[in-house]
Amino acid sequence: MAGPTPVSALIHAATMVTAGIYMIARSNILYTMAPVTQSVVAIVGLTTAILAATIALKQNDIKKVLAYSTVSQLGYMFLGLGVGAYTGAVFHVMTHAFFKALLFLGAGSVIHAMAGEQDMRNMGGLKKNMPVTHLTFLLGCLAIAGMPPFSGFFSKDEILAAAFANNSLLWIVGVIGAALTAFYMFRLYAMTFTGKFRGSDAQANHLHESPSAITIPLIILAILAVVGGWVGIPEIFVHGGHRLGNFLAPVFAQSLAHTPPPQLEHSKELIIMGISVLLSLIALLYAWKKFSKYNKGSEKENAIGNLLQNKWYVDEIYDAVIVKPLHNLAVFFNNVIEKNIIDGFVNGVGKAVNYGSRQMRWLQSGQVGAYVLLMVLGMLTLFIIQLFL
Amino acid sequence: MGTYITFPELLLWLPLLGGIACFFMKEERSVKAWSLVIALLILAVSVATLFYTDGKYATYNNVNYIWLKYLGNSFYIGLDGASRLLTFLTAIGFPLIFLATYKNKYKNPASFYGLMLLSQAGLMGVFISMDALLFYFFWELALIPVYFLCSSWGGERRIPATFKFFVYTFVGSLLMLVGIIYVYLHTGQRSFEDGTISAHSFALSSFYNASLSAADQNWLFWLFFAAFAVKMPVFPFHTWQPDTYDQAPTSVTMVLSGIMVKMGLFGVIRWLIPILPLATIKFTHIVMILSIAGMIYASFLALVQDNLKKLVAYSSIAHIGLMCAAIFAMNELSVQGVMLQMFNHGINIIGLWIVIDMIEQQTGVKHISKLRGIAIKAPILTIMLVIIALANIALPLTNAFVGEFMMFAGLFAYNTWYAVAAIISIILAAIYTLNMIRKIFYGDTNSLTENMKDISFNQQLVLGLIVVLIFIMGVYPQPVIDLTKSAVTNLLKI
Repeated sequence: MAGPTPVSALIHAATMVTAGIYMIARSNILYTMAPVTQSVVAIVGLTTAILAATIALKQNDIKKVLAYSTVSQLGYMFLGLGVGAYTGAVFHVMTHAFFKALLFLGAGSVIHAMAGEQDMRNMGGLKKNMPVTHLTFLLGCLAIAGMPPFSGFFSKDEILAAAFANNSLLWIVGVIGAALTAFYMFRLYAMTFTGKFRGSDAQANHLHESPSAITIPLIILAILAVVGGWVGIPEIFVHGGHRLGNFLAPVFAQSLAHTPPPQLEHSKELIIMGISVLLSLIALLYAWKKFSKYNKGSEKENAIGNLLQNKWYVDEIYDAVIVKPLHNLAVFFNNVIEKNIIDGFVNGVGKAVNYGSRQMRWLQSGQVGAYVLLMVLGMLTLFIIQLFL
Repeated sequence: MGTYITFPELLLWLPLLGGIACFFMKEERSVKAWSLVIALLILAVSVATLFYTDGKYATYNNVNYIWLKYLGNSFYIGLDGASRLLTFLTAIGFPLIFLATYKNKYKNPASFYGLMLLSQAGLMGVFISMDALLFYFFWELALIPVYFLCSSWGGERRIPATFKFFVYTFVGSLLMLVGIIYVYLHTGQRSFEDGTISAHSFALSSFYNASLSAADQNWLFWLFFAAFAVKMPVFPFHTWQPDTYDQAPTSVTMVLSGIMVKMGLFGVIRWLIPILPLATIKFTHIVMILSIAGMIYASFLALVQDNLKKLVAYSSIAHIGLMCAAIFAMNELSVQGVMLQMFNHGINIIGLWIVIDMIEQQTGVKHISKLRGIAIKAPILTIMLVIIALANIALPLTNAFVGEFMMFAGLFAYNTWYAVAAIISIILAAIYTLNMIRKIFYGDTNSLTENMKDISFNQQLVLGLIVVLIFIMGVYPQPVIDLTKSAVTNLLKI
């Protein structure tokens, strides 16, 4: 997130997210054979999705919102892996790559236009100044919010359908997370592109659409964000439409043979799809409406808002539970065990030898009387040993 | 036998005679040039030895003179896979050290370089001795020059630090000497070519076949182990090391940490395990727990060191702990990994010291908290250090990755939990290394670092060479594995 925007786009769209998902997808048979581990993966994934989505609700840095949305989407991918929807997870990696790269580069374009400003509270109304960025960004938001027929809809739907077949509780939480996604993305969209401009005058004069070096990639990615999902159209819409599934089938052949994917009735599938889209749409429209009228300082924070703004205090908890204790342990090792105990023992041996020598020195007092006394005592001892023992 | 000058003789006599010659030179420039030439000659010989490994060249690689025949002792030196690797490390280490510190000024340079070469002779001797008395002789010969180097050219607190170092290692050595004598008294007869027959023998092969009961082995093990453990050092025998590394002149520290600690590991491989196999099996768990506890302990200490030199010292203790544990895991993978890593660790740590020396020479400080923003002033230095530091934490593509991977795999095969515990120190290594880089290289410069200059041509050459070695060994370590394979399988046969 703190990296340069193109780097963020790269790691969020491709390198960072793919590694973990790919790893599990590749070793899918191991997970299929271990249902408990798979459940852990699903629960961890879902928790990640929800926690990160709630954090994203309250962030004001445009890139931070996107960064937490990546974490949240990553949670969905893990949910997919955990419920055995390996194809769905890989599918979501792909569609996510399109729209997340688009969103990050779009954010970069905005930040560029705002002369380095990343705080959304100082933006607003940019759609008239940046038409291309605005339109492509809107498409990206629709895709990530899971609106049909954009790419994110197909991949997310596949994961949620598999979650439903696995355990309906997973699906309920997943759908809530999807609605949160729609909400925070359109909060971001509305705060940035609609309403009044809230930045300084200097920034207002600086506003401009980005050059074609920036807009052309945005357009290409926007096209992909729209059509990218059409390689995985579910069976109920187009017969044989899941080209990606067929393409990946050999990779997951062993797992599919071990646990065949559950088949949902078509009517049920349509209903769960409809509920998820409807909830997301409501969240989307609500956020759009609410944040179009955003004014600086109009939000009052309550306790939960603070908690979310501070990211559930995860950093602080890590600091207190891991970093500080480890540091203190290291200090303890350094100051007490190393310096006092081990080195103290080593130096103690040296001191003991010195002390012993000093005491022994008194034997060599230089007084003839003492020597004679010692000699007599020695001879007596020898006599006693010789005669009596 | 002995008709021609053989490789081991050259490796021994060149530094010995070259070092003695140094003492008679007057000018600083000529001493430096002379010792560099000698070191390069030794390197050339050592490189040549790598090409004459075949059995048919045995006469070039072994030499055996009758020496103290009534004691059953002979001047028997030879090269096998492990010796070749470590003599090569010694041979490549010294020219790198001399080159990197070429500009450093020493009072009385003739003695300084003379002693350096003498310690090289001692090190070479340790690695090529095939006779126990000879081994002990060289073991001490390597120590004594270092004692004088530290106590005469070291930092402010050099006298107590050196004293501690000397007492520690000397106590260890004497315990080993007692052990050697005891084993010697239990060896068989030895007959020499001229008909002399001695009651006992110091030859390595006789030591391997000495008739020692299991009870004898149990206490002998600790006598030998004491010497090697202090040298490595293994927790809790390590407290001499950070002080000594900190106080010794940097080029001596490089010798100590890059090459001399390998004496301990080599001793375990050649003189401890094969002679006392029963005790080794019995005490494996104790040694492993000590080594692994030491790894984690030293890594923790490295986290809180402000002194760069002590940080590297503790990091080295952690790495050596892993190597020691891997030796005692006693499977082919782990021991082969140790062979690789002995070489890699030597190269990497010399690189780290070179960088620290450059920083200290230019700014006069070695404390992390006082240094900032060096990357702006010395980009080449920074790039080199980052590569070496990443090798130090065993990232893929670097040499240490191969070695550590093999050692961990071997350790894992031996006992899963030991391996898991040992891996903790890898994480800690990443933390302290990256933290150190972040603190001293990034940010703005401060008053100490704003006048820094980037490294000189010599230093670029040396660090460049180290970096090249890091990558070669990281990408294609097979030649080294081939070189030491026979030594490893011989060890494991016991």
